[in-house]
Amino acid sequence: MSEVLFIAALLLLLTILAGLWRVLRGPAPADRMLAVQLFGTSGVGILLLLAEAMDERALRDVALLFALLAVLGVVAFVRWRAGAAQ
Amino acid sequence: MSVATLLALSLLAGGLFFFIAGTLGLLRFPDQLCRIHALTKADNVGLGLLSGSLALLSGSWAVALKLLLIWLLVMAAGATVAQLVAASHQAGREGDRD
Amino acid sequence: MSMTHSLLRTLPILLWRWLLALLLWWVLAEGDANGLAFALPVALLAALVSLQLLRPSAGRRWRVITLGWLRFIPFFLLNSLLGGVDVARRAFHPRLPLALCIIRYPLNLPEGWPRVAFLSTVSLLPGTLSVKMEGDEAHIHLLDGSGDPLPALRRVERRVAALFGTGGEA
Repeated sequence: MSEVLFIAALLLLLTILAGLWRVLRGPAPADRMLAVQLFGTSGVGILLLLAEAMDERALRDVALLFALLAVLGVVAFVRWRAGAAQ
Repeated sequence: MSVATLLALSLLAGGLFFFIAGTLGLLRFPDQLCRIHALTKADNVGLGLLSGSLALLSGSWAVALKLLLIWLLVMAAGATVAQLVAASHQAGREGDRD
Repeated sequence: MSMTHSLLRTLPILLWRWLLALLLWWVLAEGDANGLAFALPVALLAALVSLQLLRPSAGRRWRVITLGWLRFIPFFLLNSLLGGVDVARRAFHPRLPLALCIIRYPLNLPEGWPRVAFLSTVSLLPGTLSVKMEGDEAHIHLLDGSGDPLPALRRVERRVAALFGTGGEA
């Protein structure tokens, strides 16, 4: 079963790489922020898969923190944009 | 293979499908607002199915609840993020027009 | 209100919150009971602090609100699944069927949490995304402007109103 989970994690990693293309290409800052959101969700997914595959429960705690930090990152982005617009 | 494992595998496959769909939308959709639709909706469903699958595999109630908690957090974040990025995108466009 | 009276009213709420905090601990520790001696006082402390930060209010119709949540959760889960299916269908479709537009939707919900909940819910439902509030109007982006989104939006508004027991009929 853990092989299946590793392959699934690899697939999610590929979606992140595809998202990276959007970050590089933009064109708008909002696109880049969205890709960061993608990293957040897929990253949490990868961590959860690895936690189960490797029986490493600490990884689930890391996933929990990732979920919390993703919010902070985007809020910071939006406030920065709001500040730049003024 | 037990019924629970089969169910877990199908949930996992479904979850991966939605992750791929979200990324595809992020790459293919023509403007920022559509891409927000694609990413937040598809990825939330993807992570939900993935958490369900892992909860079944773990066989522990505490772990299942923890996965649910993580999913709820990501979903709340996703909905908030969608709205903030959309608002900031819109504000940016109105700013450009001035 | 006398001291003992208010204490009698707060005590059951404090016990409930203590229990909830302990449940959260149990979940975060993944069922490991080793730290329980530490968890008990910390959870009690958290419950005490929560009484200050989130004051229990007497006048609310708890039963109505609980019923509202019980109805909201399946509604929300089913619709966010449909939202994901809808957007996946469009993303995989070779011709990308999209008919974009932005509408203004006048909200009857009171300001604060009810509006936040409405905007967040709308963003996860099929084809709709909240962009911003302007006065009492929500600007909502549609993936497909050919249908009529109003019945769905009104339904979300009613369900959200039930969550807060505001009864603000849309």
